[in-house]
Amino acid sequence: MKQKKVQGYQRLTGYLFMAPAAVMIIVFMIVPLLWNVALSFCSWNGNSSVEFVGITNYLSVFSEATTLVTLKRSVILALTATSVSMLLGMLYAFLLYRLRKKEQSFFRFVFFSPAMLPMTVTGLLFVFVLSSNGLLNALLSLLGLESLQHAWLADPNLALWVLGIVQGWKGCGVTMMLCTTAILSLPDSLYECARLEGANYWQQVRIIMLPLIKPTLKLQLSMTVMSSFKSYDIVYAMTKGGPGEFTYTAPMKIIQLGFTFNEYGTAAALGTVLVLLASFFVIAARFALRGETYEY
Amino acid sequence: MFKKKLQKMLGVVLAVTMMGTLALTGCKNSDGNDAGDGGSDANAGQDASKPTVTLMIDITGFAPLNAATQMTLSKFPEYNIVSKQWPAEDLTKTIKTTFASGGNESIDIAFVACRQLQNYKDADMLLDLTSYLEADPEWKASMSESMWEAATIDGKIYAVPWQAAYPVMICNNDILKEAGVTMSDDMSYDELVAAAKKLKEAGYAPFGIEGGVASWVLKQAYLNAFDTEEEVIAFCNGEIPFTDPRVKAAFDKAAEVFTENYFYLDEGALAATTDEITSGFANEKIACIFSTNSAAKNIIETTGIENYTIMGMPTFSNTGLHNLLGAPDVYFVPANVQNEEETIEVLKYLTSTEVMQAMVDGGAVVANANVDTSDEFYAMVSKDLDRVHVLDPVHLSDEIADYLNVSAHSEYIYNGEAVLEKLEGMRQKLQ
Repeated sequence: MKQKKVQGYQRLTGYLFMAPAAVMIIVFMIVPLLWNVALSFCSWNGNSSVEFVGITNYLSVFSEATTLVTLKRSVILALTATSVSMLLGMLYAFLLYRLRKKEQSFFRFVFFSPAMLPMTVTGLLFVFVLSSNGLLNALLSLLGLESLQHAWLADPNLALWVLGIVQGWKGCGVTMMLCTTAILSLPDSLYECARLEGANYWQQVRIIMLPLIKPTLKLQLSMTVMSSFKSYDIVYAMTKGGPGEFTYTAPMKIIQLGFTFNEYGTAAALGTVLVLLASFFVIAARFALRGETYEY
Repeated sequence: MFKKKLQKMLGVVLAVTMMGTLALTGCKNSDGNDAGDGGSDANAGQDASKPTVTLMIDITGFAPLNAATQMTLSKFPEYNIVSKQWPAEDLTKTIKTTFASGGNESIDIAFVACRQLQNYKDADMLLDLTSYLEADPEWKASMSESMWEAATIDGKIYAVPWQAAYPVMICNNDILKEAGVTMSDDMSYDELVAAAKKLKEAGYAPFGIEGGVASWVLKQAYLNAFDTEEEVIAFCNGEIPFTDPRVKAAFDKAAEVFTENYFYLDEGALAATTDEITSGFANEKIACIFSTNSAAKNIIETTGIENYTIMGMPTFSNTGLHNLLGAPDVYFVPANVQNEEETIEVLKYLTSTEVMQAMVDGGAVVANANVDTSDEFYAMVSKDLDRVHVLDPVHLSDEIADYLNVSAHSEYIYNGEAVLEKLEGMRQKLQ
């Protein structure tokens, strides 16, 4: 009886601690998400009464080539940013592990610092770096590599990839931090055994580190895919969707449909489609990294 | 031992800082004002018993609007006049979200280009000002009839014009002289290209324009693409298809001046920033730059170029027409305005001869017909007012407006005729 009472108190304490976070999530995440889904089946100009129109907004999204192409650009941007963020972050983490403690913490701070900058600040910084007479072209010129100079953000074949690389570079600090933490938690005995067996460092990375930090990688991959699909600020800060519409992504189209064209229902439908698309890629990424979980 | 003590102290300092921050945050009231009255922003020290009128018209560094805002702030001590910065980048989003939030967050007076009025009208967001203007004939008479036409939708006046904006070309005469080039605002496209070639050979970028407004070149080209004014009007009214060969020729010309690298930063011209253009002009790398007439004074002062000429933007056509893109900027009041009478009073003052004269002195070309315009510089930046062609295909729909204003020009450079077909598809949707 007494034990039950204690358990009851414990449960109550748990609920009490959860309550503030739960309220915030319900009010600021769940309710808007549900409202967005509901709105996607309605017509609304932002000021009129809401009118139910069935799946008309979804038909409009899927029948407009200009809207579909923004989804394609979002996928390209998200995949580029995710790849750069994951690969660069992992590389940094594996390289840092080889350094002594003090050097490791210094470089950890250096590589992590871009992650602390707001996306718009990063975007504006890279506008200066990548403009026609910017830092990168000046550097290339200094090295005698004039043939490699480009108008990086004005070239329609490059701009989207450049955005993806910048976004990935900004996010790689978090990947590095998580991977470093995961690597440092691995027992030294595993490395010692590997060294005794004659494994070099990259073999240790492949055989010990990568499989054992897989749960961390899985988590970070999911988070990176999700945040990459949402990217609006970096595109807006760097190219505003240009040149032409070559970097016009789905989040920008959502803003345009809602605020410029007063088509909030269609904007909500595109938003829902984007959420589903991002969810698909998150599931696919997790599926790709499935496999045995090792205990050590 | 010492390390532990230090850690403990740091912990205490962090905790106190966090608590202090939270406490200070809590001292903010719902209007966003500090609880104390020592704040220095425009909203600080408001008296709750006074009616509030919120302006969103001020642009940092733009003297005419700075003057108008300051004069309004000191003119109405009986009101709480709140001034917010005009958000050039997120204008529509800001106006619509503040409108939706209503109450104290709402904007009472903001300005937009008159072409954007229809969009806000479609969302039932505009206050009808017709009755106020009819009740005050003096106010209405202070602007010309053509200015009021730009603010009228379906016979009702929804806004009050304040600025007649059109693009000008500012040329550095020293560069032109060195290259042996003469520029005039009635140059044909062929003459303009010949001059550009000469300037390029002399080692200068012939022209400079901020990437975000590069579509001005295209607009100039299509507003002058036809043989007669009647045809231009028919095109602007959607009666001539975008796939018409004359429209295509206009798009070709607007693309050619960029593909031939006559604009500063060559292939990076479409991404050029205002700072890049201004510094290129100041450093005498660019012969002529394009800007709005109201910004010309500021550019001349910033760049320090002393030997200059200001003329209307070239037509980029060979037809002999001399239309100039442009339209009035207008103040409007949202339909859900909190203090309607007070807001109208402030609006009247903002468009009065007193304020407009101060704006003229700051370099703006204003809509008010009663101001003293004898200033030499004002004459230079306002002399082409009668060339301004307010009618433009951007009136046809929001979709066409957005595409023509933002992407059509640069996309045509890379995708060619597909752009015309896309525009034609949009036009046909309206038929």
